[in-house]
Amino acid sequence: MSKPVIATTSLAGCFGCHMSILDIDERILQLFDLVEFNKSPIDDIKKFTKPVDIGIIEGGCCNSENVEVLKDFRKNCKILISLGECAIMGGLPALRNGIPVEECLHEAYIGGPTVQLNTKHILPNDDELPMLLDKVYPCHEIVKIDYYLPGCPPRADLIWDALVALITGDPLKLPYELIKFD
Amino acid sequence: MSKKITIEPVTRVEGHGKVTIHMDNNGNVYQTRLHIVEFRGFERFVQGRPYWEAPVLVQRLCGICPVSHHLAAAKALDVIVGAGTGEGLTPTGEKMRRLMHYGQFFQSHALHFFHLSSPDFLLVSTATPPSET
Repeated sequence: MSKPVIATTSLAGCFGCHMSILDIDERILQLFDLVEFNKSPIDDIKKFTKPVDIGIIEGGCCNSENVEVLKDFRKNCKILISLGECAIMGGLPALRNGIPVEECLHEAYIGGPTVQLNTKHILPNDDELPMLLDKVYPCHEIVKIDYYLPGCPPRADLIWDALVALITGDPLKLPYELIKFD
Repeated sequence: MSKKITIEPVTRVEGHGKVTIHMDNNGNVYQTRLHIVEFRGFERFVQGRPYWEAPVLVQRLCGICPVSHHLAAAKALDVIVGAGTGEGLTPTGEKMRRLMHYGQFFQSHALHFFHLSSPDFLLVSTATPPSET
């Protein structure tokens, strides 16, 4: 039997969830025995090269590129997991949802106390940049998500146990101590 | 024909990036650009929050170096609460922060070496399809 294939990505996240994946420490060697990685920052494969069994999404959607990547993951992955608060509910970036996006851009690039060099008051507006969305959206509002692993970040043991359960088909036991939100 | 090579995403940093390399008709590079494609708006949405939340909020700027952001926010709070720019810290407080900073430094270097750089250098033939990167 061929190994299950895993892909991961970070959308509007901070890579903290990916760091938590790496926090499984030496079990990462076991993980590489159990699965094969496809598109992921972990191996730097940038495009899907084969159908994927488990897609792991970190971060919600704050721009058009996030949405495209997420839809691409849904198309190529049998199972999608929202990993961490940002993917599950927008997380910290969703704090901007009550604020007009223009105000956020203005503060960051024009009006903020640490802005010094932008004398022409230019906002980022390059063709290469994705369009910002009006709000930060959790992944399940864009595509169907199969599983949710909470935490900011989710504990490494939680990620490990969940992946092993998914791969082996064993029931997942989640003790209370593993479900932490900070 | 002018040509553009796009490297996306750049995966060895936090702060989702993209690099475009622009070449002229003769294939010579005339411009290389780094695009920071992610904008989250921390500068604005931390405003109005309880001040003691700031160190924990800004940790989420970067999951690779959260402690550095935490300590930067703590320094800003020092000024706000009247502890000045360092001289108001207790010796124990300063030692704790130094310890945290060294811990971050150590963790960051270990991460970079063991998880980010080494696999690229050592396992490049198996980790990367030849058509990519």
